[in-house]
Amino acid sequence: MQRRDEAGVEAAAIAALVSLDGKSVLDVGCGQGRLTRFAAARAASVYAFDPSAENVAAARASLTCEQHSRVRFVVGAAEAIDLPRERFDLVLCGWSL
Amino acid sequence: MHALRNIHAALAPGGLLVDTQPLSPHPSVAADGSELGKLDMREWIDTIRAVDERVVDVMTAGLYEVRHEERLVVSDAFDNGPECLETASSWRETRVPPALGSWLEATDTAVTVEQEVRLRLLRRASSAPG
Repeated sequence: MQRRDEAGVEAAAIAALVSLDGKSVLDVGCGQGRLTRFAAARAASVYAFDPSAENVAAARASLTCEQHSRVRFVVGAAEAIDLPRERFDLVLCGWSL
Repeated sequence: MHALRNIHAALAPGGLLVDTQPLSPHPSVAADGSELGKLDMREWIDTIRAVDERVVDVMTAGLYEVRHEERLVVSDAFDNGPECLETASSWRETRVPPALGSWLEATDTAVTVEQEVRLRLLRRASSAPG
């Protein structure tokens, strides 16, 4: 099984740059939830989407019960998805633009 | 709609966007501390250049401003060579050179792929998307 960034280098660099505490976060192209888990552990709410339903299912399954209540998942692509306007404090695009 | 314009509309005024992208045209593949070879991701880098052009477009349009940029090294870990070979072969615009493929097929220990990653922090500017 592929394990991306087990050392958490990317997440640590993001955490050093911006605080996610209490923020509304959009996770673009969430994949299997690597940055979704990072955001869900800190933010007030997370809206995560990916074009692959399989990836979204894996990302959802990777969250703790406590994190589930703060994360909403959607299947869709960044170009086409209907997002709420002026809603998010922070957008994460991890290898996804 | 262009993804960056869609995201701009979703960001609150003054909101931030963190973008990370792998940049290595030839990521190193290693096992037991020794390099087995390099992947060929030159086509992928062409895709990144196209993304960069779109970022320049939206910056020129006044939608975002760059606040910070840095480079990181991120590793993908695999339990063994065949697993790495199967996964890397499925990556977009990535070729596994035949010699590296042979090494991976014969490697039963843990394998890593190291990629240089660019992290950019963009801030939503006030201009409305056109």
